[in-house]
Amino acid sequence: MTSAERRVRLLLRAWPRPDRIERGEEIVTTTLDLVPQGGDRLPMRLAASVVFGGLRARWRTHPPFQHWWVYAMYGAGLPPQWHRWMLDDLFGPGWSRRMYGRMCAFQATTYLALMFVLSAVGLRQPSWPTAIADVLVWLLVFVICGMITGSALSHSRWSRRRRVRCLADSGLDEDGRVDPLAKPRYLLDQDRRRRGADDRAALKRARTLATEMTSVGKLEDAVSLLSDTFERAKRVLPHTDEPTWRAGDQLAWALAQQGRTHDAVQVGREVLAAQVRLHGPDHDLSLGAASRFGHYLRSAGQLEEAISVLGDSFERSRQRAPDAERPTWWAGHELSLALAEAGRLDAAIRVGRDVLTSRQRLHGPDSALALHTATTLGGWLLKVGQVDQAIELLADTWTQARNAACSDAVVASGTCLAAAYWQSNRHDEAQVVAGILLSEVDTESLGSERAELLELLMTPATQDPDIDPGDGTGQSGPL
Amino acid sequence: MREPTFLILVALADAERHGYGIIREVEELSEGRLKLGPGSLYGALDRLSEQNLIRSTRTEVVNGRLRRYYAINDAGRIAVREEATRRSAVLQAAESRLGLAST
Repeated sequence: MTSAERRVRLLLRAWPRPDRIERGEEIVTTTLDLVPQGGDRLPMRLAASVVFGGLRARWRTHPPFQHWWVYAMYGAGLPPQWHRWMLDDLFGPGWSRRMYGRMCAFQATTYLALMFVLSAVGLRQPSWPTAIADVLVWLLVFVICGMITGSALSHSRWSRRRRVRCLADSGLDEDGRVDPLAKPRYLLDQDRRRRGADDRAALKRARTLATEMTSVGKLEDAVSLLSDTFERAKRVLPHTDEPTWRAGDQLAWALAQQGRTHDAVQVGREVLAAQVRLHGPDHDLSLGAASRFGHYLRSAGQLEEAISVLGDSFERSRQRAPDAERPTWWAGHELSLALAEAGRLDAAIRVGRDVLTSRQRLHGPDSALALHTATTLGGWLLKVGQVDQAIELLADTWTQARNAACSDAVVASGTCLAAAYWQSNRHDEAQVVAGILLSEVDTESLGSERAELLELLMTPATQDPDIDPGDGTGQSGPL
Repeated sequence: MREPTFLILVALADAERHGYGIIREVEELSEGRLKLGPGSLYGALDRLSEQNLIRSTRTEVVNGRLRRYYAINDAGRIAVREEATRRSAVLQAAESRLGLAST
């Protein structure tokens, strides 16, 4: 290694560590290429360029003061654009000592600032030599303490906790990978450690974490956490306590999402009974619980009980909140689906029409909810032989779905419309709709079954196809 | 766009180059007026990569030394073209005014 190379490698320390790791060798190569032929010394111009380039890179990647201050002082997280710097700071060598040093420096600065303020308002005679001597003694004590506890400090629980806190607050797991559950999980751990797992705040944190788990599709973890939270809440909190039943409600929904509909029915029944007992059957919480319980019953195939529960809930909700999507029209839609699944298509159509009119009024005719409801209704009209009405409704829905660029509704209503045209012997129009769908929508979005059906319609010898309009529930969550 | 950035993009417009190659090309394009140091070069390359105007294509080891090659992206070509048009318009305006002033 030449002396020029040794010097470049030394000056490279001006660059942030991640840059040195990623492109240090490349910078060394380019710098040495620029050294005049036969020269063994590094020209001053090149040395200055390497150093200033490194300092500029440090400045560019360093978080601004207001973010850095709360990170360094309180262990708060940083926004994503500063994660690279933060991860290097947290996982780089000497992190604990750095954090300790910063805290000492902050304390010394605070002390000096306090002295300045007290002197300025006349509460203390200005005596800067004494104040500076105090600070120097403090710093000396901190440095000695830091040296004595150095190794212990870097491996201490304090150090680890502080690192985990910074990472979690930034939405990163303990290895620095992006994890949306990191922060709620950390907060739950904190509450459980400080106040115990049975504390009301800890139980609330557990529900928040479970909501996040559900939203990222970790249903098994959500169900496990909610089961534990629900059981604890029932045991610890008074039975009149609302959070207990909210946990139960969330658990039932997560179970249903997971496909464990019979377990969902069991928990849903318990929650509904508790809400009715606590608030009466006409309270919003009871009506919401009833509509969801009806949904679990329908999903579990217990259609007669579902119709009874949903019918009652729908009527009560309608009286109480005629303009509320939830629980009123959601319950109405669930009721119409349960009726259709039980083979009572006329009743399903009657309720479905009410739901459609209200959803069009509440959300607009081109909203996803209204378009899905209309498609479902069109499918039922077709099944009971009211083909002309079905065509009129589906053609209107298909046009609105295309204008609103609602791709799910375009596919569902278009497929239904093509089948309806075919059923009424308007084969040319059926083929036009099927052709548009096949050319405009890719097979993946179309689904293999629908694609096959549409291909079939394009074949001249096709008999009446069977259609499935879907349930058009547009469900998003329990609360 | 600052001149060093523009010249780096122009240097990469016709071929992929490594760091030293870019510095030499920029020097040639500016007729020896602009001599980029390694610090300025890698700062500019970082910014251009972040803006998705250039990309790193490959690395190779020559005589035990690592070289990384850079190439311009489509967005980079568009940016160079726009900047060149702008500079050309300014040049034409300057020439036109100087021409008017001399008559």
